[in-house]
Amino acid sequence: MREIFVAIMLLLGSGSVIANEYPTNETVHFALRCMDELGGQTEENLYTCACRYDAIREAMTYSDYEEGYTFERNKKMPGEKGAAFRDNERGKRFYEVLLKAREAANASCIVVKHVKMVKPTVVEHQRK
Amino acid sequence: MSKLSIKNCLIALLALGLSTSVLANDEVRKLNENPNYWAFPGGDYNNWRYTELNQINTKNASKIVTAWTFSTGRLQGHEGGPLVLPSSATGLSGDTLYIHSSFPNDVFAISLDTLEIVWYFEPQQDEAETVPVMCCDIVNRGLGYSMGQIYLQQADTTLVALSAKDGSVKWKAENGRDIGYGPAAGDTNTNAPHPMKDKVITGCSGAEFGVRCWLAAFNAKDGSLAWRAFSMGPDEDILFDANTTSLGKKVGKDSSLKTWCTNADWKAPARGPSKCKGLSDAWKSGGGSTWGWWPADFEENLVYYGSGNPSTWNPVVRPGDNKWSMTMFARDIDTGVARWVYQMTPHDEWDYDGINEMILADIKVKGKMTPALVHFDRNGYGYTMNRKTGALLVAEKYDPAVNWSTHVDMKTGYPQTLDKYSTHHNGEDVVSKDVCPAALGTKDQQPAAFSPRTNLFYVPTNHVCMTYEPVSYAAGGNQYTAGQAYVNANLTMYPAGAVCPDCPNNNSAKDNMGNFIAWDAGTGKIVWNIVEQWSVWSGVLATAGDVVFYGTLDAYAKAVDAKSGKLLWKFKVPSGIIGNFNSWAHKGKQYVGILSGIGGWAGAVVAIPGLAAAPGEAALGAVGGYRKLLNSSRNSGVLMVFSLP
Repeated sequence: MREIFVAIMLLLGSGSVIANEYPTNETVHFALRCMDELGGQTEENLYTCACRYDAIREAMTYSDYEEGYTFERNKKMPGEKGAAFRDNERGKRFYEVLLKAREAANASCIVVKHVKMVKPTVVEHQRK
Repeated sequence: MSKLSIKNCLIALLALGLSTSVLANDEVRKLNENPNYWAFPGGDYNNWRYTELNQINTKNASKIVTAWTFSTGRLQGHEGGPLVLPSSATGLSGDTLYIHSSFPNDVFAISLDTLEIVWYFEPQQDEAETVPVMCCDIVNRGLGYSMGQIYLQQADTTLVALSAKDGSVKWKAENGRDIGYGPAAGDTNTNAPHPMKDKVITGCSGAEFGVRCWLAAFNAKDGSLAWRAFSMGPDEDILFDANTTSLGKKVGKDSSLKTWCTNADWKAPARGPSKCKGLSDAWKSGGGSTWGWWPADFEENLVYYGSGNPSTWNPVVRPGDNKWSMTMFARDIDTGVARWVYQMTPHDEWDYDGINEMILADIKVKGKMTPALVHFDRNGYGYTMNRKTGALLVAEKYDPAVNWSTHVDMKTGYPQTLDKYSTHHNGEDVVSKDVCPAALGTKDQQPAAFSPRTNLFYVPTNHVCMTYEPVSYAAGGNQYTAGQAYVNANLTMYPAGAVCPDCPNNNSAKDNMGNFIAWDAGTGKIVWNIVEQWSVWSGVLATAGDVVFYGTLDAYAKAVDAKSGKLLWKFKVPSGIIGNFNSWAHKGKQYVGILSGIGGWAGAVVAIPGLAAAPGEAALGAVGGYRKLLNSSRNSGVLMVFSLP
């Protein structure tokens, strides 16, 4: 457990020196989305998500990420509007890069575990 | 804030209005003159989408910040924009903003003083019946206002008048079920109701289901039907009389019926007038839907709108011009009778609906001041008409990639289609390649704006081409059945740069799918052009500060210089933009509002602390979960409101 923690601290530490142009807005959104997927806002999930975020930022520039993410969000958009996405080769290309980056990030970043709480044993005291 | 001047032409319009009769919605026209409010979908009855507010200008636009946001709690696409009304109109204290959501079309009244919801209305609609027959996402394009009432055109074709004060239902009207249509027959609604005089004008969607569509006027007082004018059929159905003209000539009797032929040897494409050997009754499932943005000229007492594609998308089975699909109409507001018509795409073979907004402006056309109507059609031509006579003055391509026809014959009005792009000529079950624009058009419904300061039109466009294969009945095409999809075509779409590599509005990779242009409607020329990676699908706002606002599918709200197109500001909103920018002022401050939300959400919903409701619950609209939603921002349709700091 300690090893994992140290490794993640190192990754987090390295995050601050990665040159990237990802805006704060996206950083916060990414963290919230990612923690939600992992089950909620906990310190442990934040470690995992920060690791994944750094990995993705290393893999793609923000403008490539943005195109891939735009495609992902809209590829199932119905009707005529969706036509701009359904057959869009360029969007598809960036989306595939994003999927690969995400896959790699998920593989390289350990999901930090935490001890789960259970209901405490209730001791019934006899009342007189 | 500076004192705001009233445009001379508006004064003229108003004076005329007062002199003719006491009109029930003189009130709306007065509200339109006051730039502090936004009382009509298009901002005014000319559909300019222009505000006299100039607090935000080219010098300070870079400093725009988010002032407040409101989440509708609904997923899927959010089109249209808010209305803003004063207490004199609503009976509420202070100014109130009214906003709608995608299906099931909730309506919210928000106090601009407190930013609290004053009331909300949750229509009860049959989702299982309605949603599956909405061809193109479950959007709604917003609300209308007149006589103390907010109008909502529900997806299930019910038109509702709500008290602006408390949201109570004043009346309900059937806009389809009364004549055997409605969702069970594939007939739905997406358009905003357009109050004009003492009427509420509304339309019809469902050409992809073979609905014979119409424009209808209901009496604002009690919701009774004033008139209904079909897009095709006998003269008594389409409300044509002996004086109805097209390009200055009387159209004569049975002008629609005469253009639906039986003869298989009828020759496509339609490059000029033709005759049928025999007449078919295909007009009965003829389409011609009406879901755009409609202006009014009160001097002429006319409402203007366009009709959509004839059904089905396989043109081979409906020889003839298929009038009056794909047509501009000028109708009398009181009687519905057509003054003039012009069919832009006779015998459509590409789904180039003519529903896009009509914009009225007095501009110089080829050097001469003209009472003009300007329309950017799906078919790729920017049309300038004389709105009083219906004369065709300009028809020029507003994307150089447009290739399906060489030009429009200015005498006959017929586009000169090339055989190789004629999907009918090429035949059923044959793929016609590299047709530009694609079926979604060089522009769809997203409305353009006009600035009287620059005399330019600001137009959001698509830069997309397609392959198109009409599907025969033998190859599995559907015969018409009420309530069943009636499309019968296969399409693929791709960036126009692949077909037109030398087009000046390509990006360097030649794979952009959109452009944002400034257009001179007097000459039919592009003045400046901004290349966008994705189709530009937002409604535009022009301002007296010479700032033009538009939004993108990759979720940027943008402000550009009206004169040069120079980018002044951009801001990442929660989701892509397909709504319309509107502007108003409250307590001396100018605000700009836009709906963000294109639906098609991928991945998990953004987790916001303290918000427990899952998207499923939101979709069900459980009232219990609602209050929580309304207090939080979430990954749904969001009204973003911007101002200077």
